[in-house]
Amino acid sequence: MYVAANPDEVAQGAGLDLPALVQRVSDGDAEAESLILTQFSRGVHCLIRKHLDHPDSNLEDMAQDVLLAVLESLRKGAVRDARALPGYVRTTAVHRAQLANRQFSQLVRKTEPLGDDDGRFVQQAAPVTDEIDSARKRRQVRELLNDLPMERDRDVLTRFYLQDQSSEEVCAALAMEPEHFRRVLHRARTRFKAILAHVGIQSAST
Amino acid sequence: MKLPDFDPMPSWLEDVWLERYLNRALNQEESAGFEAYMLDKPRLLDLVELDLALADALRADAGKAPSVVPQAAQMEAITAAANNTPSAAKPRSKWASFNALAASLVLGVGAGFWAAKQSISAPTIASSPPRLVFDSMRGAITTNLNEPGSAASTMYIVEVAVPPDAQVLSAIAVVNGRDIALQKPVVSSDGFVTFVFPVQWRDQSTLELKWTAAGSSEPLQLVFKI
Repeated sequence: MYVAANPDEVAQGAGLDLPALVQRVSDGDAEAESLILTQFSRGVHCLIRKHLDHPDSNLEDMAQDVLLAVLESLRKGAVRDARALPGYVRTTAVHRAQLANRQFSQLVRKTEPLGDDDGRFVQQAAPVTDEIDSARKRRQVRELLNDLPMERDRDVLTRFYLQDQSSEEVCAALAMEPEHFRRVLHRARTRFKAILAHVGIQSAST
Repeated sequence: MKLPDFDPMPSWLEDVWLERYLNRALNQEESAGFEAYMLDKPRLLDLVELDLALADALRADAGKAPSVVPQAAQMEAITAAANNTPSAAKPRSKWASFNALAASLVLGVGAGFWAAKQSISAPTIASSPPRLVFDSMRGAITTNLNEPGSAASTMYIVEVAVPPDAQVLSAIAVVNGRDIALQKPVVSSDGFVTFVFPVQWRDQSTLELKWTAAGSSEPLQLVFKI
C-alpha cells in the first residue's frame, strides 16, 4: 500500500512510507514532521472548508490548529498504527470545523440575525480585492448558468448547493430521474472548471 | 459500500467514489473513509475544491447586493428593526441565514469606488456619508473623529482602529436593546475595521467589538457609541 519515498517523490504527490515517517516523528525527526505537514496540509484546508457551515476568515488558523494537534500526537507516539493516520487527520479536521460551527451558532443564538433587508445595509468594508473576487464569482456563475440549457437544470444547482437538498429531494421536487440529476451536476462542474481555466485559474495540482 | 483496501485506487474507481461523495450519496461511514483517503490525493482535492468554488460562486451570485440606496420597502424594514417591530418569519436554509447575517455588499471609501458603484447600481447614492472613526490602539477609546458628511446620506460609516494583526472574534450592534450579530470583519492592511450602518441607527446604537492581538491570550472587548 505504501511505497518508500524521498522528499522529491513527496513533492510530486507520490505515496509516502507512512509507518517510517510516523516513527521518525516520534523519534523527533523535524524533516519527517515537515513531510507530514506537506502531505496533509492541503487536504486539511479542503476538509475544514467542506465541513464549515459558513465561510470563516480563520480557516488558516483552524488548519494550523489541526496540523499542530496531529504533530503533537505523533510526537507522543499516540498514533500506533500509521495506516490510521489519514483517518485521524480527517477526524481532527472535521472536529475543528464542527467546533467553529458551534461557536458561530452560539453567537447567532445570543444575538438576533439581521433581517434580509437590514442585512443589506449593515455592511463592512472589505479590501477592494474582495469586491473584485465577489464580482468575478458572479460573472463565472452567470456564464455557467447561461450554458445550462434548461431552467430546471439551474433549479438543480440552486436546490443542491444553496438549499442543501439531497439528491433524492431534488429529484422528487423536480420530477427528475437520478441519472439526469447526476448529468446536470457533472455538466455544471465540468463547465465551471472550463470557465475557471479560461480565466487562468488552474488547479493546484497542474 | 466499503472503501477498497488498496491505496491508491485506480482513477476510474476514484472518480466513482468522488462523484458519489460530491453528490452527497455516501453514508456517514463511507464519507469519512473517502475523506481520509483523499487527504493526500491532489487530483481529488482539485475536484473537491472546484466543487467548493462552484458552491461559493453560486452563493455569491445569490447574495449579490441590491442597489445601495434603500427602496421604500427596505427603509420600512430597517425602521421596523430599529423600532423593535417583529418581521415576518421566512423559512431559510442555513446559507440564507448566513447571507442575511453577513451582508455581502462591499463599500470602499474613496470617490473613485463610490463613482463606480453609482454607475452599477442606483443613481442616488450620497457622495460622502457621515463617518465615525475610533482609535482604540491603547485598549481604550482614545479618540473619536466625527465627520458630518452629507445630510442626504442614508447610511454612515464607522471605522475602528485595531492592531493590524488583530483577530476579530465578534462584532455585535446593539440597536434599541436588540443584539444584532455582524459578520466578523476583515482588518485592513492599515489596521481598520469598517462598518456601514443605516442612519436610523445613529445615536441610538452601540457597537461591541471583541478581538485578540498577536501575543495576547486575553480578548479585548470595547463598546462604541455609534
